[in-house]
Amino acid sequence: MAAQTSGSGTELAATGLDETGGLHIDPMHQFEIHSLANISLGDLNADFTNSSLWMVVTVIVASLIMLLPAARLVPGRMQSIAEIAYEFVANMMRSTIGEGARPFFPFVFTLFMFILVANMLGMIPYSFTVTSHLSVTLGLALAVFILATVVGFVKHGFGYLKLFVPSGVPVVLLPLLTVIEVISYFTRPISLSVRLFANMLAGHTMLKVFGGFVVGLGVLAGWLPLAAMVGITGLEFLVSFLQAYVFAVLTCIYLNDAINLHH
Amino acid sequence: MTEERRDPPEDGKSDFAQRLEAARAAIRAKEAAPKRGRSAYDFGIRVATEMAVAVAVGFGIGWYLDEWLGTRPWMMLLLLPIGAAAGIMNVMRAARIEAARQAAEMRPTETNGTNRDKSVKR
Repeated sequence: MAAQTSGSGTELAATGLDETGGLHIDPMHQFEIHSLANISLGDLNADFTNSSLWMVVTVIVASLIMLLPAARLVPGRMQSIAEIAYEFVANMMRSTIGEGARPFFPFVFTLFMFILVANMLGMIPYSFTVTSHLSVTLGLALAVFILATVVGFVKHGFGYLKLFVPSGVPVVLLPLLTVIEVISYFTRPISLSVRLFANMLAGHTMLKVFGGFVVGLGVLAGWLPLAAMVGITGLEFLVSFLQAYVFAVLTCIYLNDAINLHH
Repeated sequence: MTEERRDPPEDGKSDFAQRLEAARAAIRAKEAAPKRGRSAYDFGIRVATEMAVAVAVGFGIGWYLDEWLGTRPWMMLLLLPIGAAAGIMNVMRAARIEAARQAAEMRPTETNGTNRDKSVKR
């Protein structure tokens, strides 16, 4: 979207001026993916992109948060963050799934920390928001979807298909309701991924647009959008956290359906 | 709440084991109690996308079935409302889970008899 074809165009976009010297604002520029190292596996394009780079950074930062603090009886700041994160996810899983949640804790916790750290890193100016791309969030959501489905069939065999057959409805409506249930089951990975991606994309675009207003209106009237920016930035931090949380909660709910087999 | 259990052991257990057991029971009880204090905001986002995406998925499935069976536009017309129905059902289901969770949260405070009115309004 809004891709610059000429090399000079991208450079000018970075400086904020276009060829005629007017203000040029490209809020979608931040989402562009460019290759940092060309790798190909057969016919497959497996380039190391800026997105890959920030995924690696995300994993490193999340690992440092969890592994670096020394385990003291009285926790320091970093250890507190690690402990709060652990307890937050553990409590969430206990209250949504119950005792069967134990084996899935590493999966949900990794997912939560990856999304949270990726969202938070995205709030740093000039960084890249990994979760603002549908391909990334759909990959995560499909992992959840496949895991939940596999767990459901392993635990209940073909009895898992009972999930699609609502109980206590007239026989006439049963086929229709089963079709609806099946569709709603396949909606899961899509709504899971679209929610995260759309929130991050919209939020970051809005930040850039308002940033453009500040520059465009200048010293005279730029203060108003600047004040709005402060509020929106705070909101974006909230959204960054909430989206990670919602993703993890829905993962728990889907796993709960698979483990305990009831709606 | 473990302080009053300081009296010497009588049933063969040591004082320490008794207190340890009491403390563990208290922790278990605390963990079993549902947590409160989540915003309605995250729930709002969840429900809104749930609705929109279900319609889109119904449309998409219909579109590809038409492509496959050559029945344009009939499968699309059939599956679009079914997708919408799935969306409404997802929203209702999510709302039911949320209501159950909130009801569970209200229970401990209701014993005080003070929060009753608030819980009804929400």
